[in-house]
Amino acid sequence: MSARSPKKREAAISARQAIASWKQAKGLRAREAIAGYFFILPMLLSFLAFFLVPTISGLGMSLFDWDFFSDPAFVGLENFIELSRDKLFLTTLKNTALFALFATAGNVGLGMFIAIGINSVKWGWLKAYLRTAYFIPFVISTVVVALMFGFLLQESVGVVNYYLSRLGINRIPWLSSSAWAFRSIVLIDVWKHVGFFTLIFLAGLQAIPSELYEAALVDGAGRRVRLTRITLPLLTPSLFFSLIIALIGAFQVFESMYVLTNGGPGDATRTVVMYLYREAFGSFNMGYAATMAVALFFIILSLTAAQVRLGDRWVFYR
Amino acid sequence: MPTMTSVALSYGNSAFQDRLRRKWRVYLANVALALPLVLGSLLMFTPLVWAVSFSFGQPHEFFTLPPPVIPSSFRLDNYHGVFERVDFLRFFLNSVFVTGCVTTAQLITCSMGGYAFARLRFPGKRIIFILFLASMMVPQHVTLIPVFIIIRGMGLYNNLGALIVPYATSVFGAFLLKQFFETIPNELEDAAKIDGAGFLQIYWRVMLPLAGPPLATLAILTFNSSWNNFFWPLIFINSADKMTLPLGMIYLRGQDGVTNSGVLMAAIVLNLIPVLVFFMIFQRRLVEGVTLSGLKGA
Repeated sequence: MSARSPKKREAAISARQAIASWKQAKGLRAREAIAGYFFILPMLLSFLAFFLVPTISGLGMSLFDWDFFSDPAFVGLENFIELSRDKLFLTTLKNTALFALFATAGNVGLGMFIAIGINSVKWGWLKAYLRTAYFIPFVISTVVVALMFGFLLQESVGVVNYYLSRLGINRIPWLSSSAWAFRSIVLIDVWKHVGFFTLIFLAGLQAIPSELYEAALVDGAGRRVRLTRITLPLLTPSLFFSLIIALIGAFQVFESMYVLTNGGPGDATRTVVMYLYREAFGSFNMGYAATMAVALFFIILSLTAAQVRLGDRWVFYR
Repeated sequence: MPTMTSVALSYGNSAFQDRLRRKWRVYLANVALALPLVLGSLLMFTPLVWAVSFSFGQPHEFFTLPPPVIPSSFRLDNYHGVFERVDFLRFFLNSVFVTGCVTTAQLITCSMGGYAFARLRFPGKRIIFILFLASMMVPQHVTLIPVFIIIRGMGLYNNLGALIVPYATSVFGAFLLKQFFETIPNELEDAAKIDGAGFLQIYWRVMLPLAGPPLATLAILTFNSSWNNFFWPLIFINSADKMTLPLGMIYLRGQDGVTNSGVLMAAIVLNLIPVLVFFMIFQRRLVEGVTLSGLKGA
């Protein structure tokens, strides 16, 4: 026993200590992992129950013919073939795409324009007022907005047409003609959402360092050059973001049409989601409705992917 | 340009006029810039003002021209009409209940998730987080029918729970809080650990008290979207006593003599009041929240 040198004994002790602390660390690590899973448990359960399982079964459902009450019958890709020949689906797709185009252009274009305007207003109180005023409609529910405009835009007794007639403009069939119903819904959508995009662009404008403008002033750059060479290039990330979320939102449009026109006149304002809703909860064609949802998803996905691809070419990253 | 000013000053009075003129020109340029923006902002208010004034209008006035933009009297008949036809208070209370539950639940679950993703190490963390983020990209209509079946299976059809349970967490909220919790210095957490605090205590005693601002932002954004949710109640609720405000409005419109009437306008005003009060109180945070969600993407 006494043959063991003090050095060896020391080494043995330190090894034992190392093992003990390693074990302790392992215990701590395990405890941390358990805590981690515990903290994400609510989110994980919700993810499984309301996203992962539904997404997979939604994809699967598109391969079945199912009316909710009898047993589903496997039909392969037949739903997709039927969908590609379904005239109403193509009409709703066209309506949705046109709506997305005009609403996105209106919301994002006007939002950028207004934000640049507000940003160059000199008086702080006016800036604050304008920002608030344009944003107010965003907090009002789409249903209330739609009901309100439905009242104001009546053809014969509506207040909007009354004032237009005072200005010498003929009554406009805001909601009763196919062409105008579509335009009205785009206009209402821009009224409600333009303030949101204004805010996003205002945030982008505030992120532009003021030194750039100061340097440009020293170089003798005028207002126009500063706008086209500094402001607009440095706003492209905000523009890119706005275009993506505006388009994703617009392709899922449903509420204002449902409330205001119920898809009419004819099918002039019927969108993909409205058709999907009717197939699923009106006709109980669950498989076919799921097919539409999957098609819509891939359309949105490919458009977003294309935007991201193209974005590399024109978005200016500092 | 100091030299020019001093030169100009030597000319005395005319230079003063010159400066005044230039000042005026700048002032006018600013007014010219602001004017279209101010006029545009009036377009945002006009429909709301009209809704308020028409809510006082009498039925016979709606078929006469000019329309009663300035109410002939401030009679509350239309408001009585709303409460006679539907249980408006019930809609309101249902909305308050659903929105309150959804907001509270999201504050808890999102802060828990955000804390775990920001500060704890566990196997599979990255993959799980990426999967969560990916779920934000999928439109809700893809999951609509299966979720409908699941909710029915849970016995929540035509139950306020159907409007709460699927919205009890949000990936956006967890992301928001994760970003915040990552900025908290390690020293705070280490000090708590040395004092023998467990992870639950660190979350509750250290992290949450610091997270006031992002929690407030999340609460306001969640409140707003839950309050205005229409699609979900449309699918899951079919009896009037379970309706929230947006669906209740459609139900009211279906009652006798309500379509495009003063009664409908009165109900719209009753809808606007709480929303505008909410907006006035939380304006700054709301703007901050939207800006934040915008910057995140930009």
